[in-house]
Amino acid sequence: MGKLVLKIKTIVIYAVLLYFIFLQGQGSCAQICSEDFLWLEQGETAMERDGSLTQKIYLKSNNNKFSVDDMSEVSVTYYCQTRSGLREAYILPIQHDDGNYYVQALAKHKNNYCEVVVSGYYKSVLYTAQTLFTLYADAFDKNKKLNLIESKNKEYLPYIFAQTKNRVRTGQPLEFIYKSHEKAVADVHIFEKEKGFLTAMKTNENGYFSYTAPEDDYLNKMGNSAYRTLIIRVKGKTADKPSINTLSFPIYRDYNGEIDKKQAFVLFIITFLIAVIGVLHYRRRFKLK
Amino acid sequence: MISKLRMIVQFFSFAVLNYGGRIGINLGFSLPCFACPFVSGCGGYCFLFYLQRVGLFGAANWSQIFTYPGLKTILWFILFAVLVMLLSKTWCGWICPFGTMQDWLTMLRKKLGIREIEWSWKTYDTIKPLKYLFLGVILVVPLLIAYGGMHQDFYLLFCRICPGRTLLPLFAGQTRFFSLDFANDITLVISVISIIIAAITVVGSFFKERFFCLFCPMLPLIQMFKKYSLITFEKKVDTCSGCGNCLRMCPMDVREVHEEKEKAKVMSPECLLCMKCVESCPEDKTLTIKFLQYKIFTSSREYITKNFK
Repeated sequence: MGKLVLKIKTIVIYAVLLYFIFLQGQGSCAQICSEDFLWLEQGETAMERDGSLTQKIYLKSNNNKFSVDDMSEVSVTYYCQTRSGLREAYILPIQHDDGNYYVQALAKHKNNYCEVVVSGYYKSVLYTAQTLFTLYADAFDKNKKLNLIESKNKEYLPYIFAQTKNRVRTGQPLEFIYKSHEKAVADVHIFEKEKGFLTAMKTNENGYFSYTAPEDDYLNKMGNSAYRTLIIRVKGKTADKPSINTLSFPIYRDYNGEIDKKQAFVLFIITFLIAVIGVLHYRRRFKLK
Repeated sequence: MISKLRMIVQFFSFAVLNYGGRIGINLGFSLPCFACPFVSGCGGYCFLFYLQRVGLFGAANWSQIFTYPGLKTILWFILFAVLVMLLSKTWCGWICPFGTMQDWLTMLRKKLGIREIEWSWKTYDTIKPLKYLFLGVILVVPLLIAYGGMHQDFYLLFCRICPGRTLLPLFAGQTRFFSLDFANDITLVISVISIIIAAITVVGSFFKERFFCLFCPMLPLIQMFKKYSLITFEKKVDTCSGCGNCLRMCPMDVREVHEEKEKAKVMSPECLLCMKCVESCPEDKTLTIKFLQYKIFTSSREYITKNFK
């Protein structure tokens, strides 16, 4: 009888604990997910006749709570850097089509490492959104000037600096530095466009934080060009005003994480030995004939 | 003498095509030989790689076909044709880095005093069509991926099972492609096949001279331009004594040169233009390699007495 009571008590305690954990989780996610932020989604690319490449970047707000029309002092800067180090910066005009706001990034060179930075105020909060992407163009006239205003902004604050210039992959430790006017610990929330809120963390006093995207079965199954969109949101302060900053980029499947060299070597040796035995056997048979 | 010259050219080509990129050499996408693009710092790209990337004449990238890069694709195809017409099978016998690697294995076997394996003609005739199968894969798979809904992991299918991709990067210290890829079932099966083919190629090339060349899909592609090639391989049938030296020396065991009794032009699809048959022919001016009307190398009794003691 005593044992039964003990068992029931244990089950009740675990049930209550699970209930609280569940509620707590729901509460935090609901709170984090409902907070406003601006982010950039990469759209389709199109190759122009002359070999230059355009990429649509859509300006989106979390839960579609506000749009670019509701914001003030909106600016869009586009940075493009080639492998050889040539760097260009332009101010992009915001375009509107079917209820979507977008900008069009354009590249002329091969291997461009590009970034679009959008900033603007909404209800006295500074919202910034950055996105990183690579473009592979091959324009006939690579020195042709674009019909855009060149940007003179050399440094942008607040800014999430990503220490990577290649395709970002799952399983790869990603390091970031959040730069703002004030050195302080800031809240970081990581989302995936497809999965929603993933995790929360804090920067250190220098703004440093890191994140490693876990292996993803969907990406592993879908192939090398399939990707998910990772959104990193940092809540900080800029000149005593709150700022909400995001950095988004596509994340691809791990290139090296699923490979096994040892098993390949074993397979190679086994096949090698079987082939040698086969050759010796064939040679002996051939000779006897 | 020709053999030594060939060895030097092969060594030089191997160095340029495998490591040339490290000193800024880039010979483009049109090379009619296995200059593996997966070797980090390679000096040029195998045309089969480009053919798979864009499809025949860029057909797998239809949206780009009327753009400047589309025009460049056509130019790469034209350049391939020009390079093939210019040097024909010399690409295989003298320049191909993967062929050179196979020749090194043959040299090792000879040093060890191990006899080459002999195959029946029936075996040769059975395996000959395999290169056309590989060529079919190269031509069809890019179109199936672009328009037939084939899984993206079949991209560059031939490259990914090619032993060149598994073995040549090892010379640059890269082991990435000598691995099994467990990302999904398709990548695993492809990587298993690639390792098995690589192991069979190493053993095969050790026991049989230019083993993989018997299956190489580049050979039929080069052969397509045979009519327009500036290099010709001719035989004077009336001066041939039928000694069979040409057949015995041929790394590909080509029968056509020995057996031809009527036609003057004797370059077969399997010929690599290594010129071993011309070197070993004891009859004056019976076998000749020509560039346009100019004789590059011709058989002579004098050459044999000087070089074969």
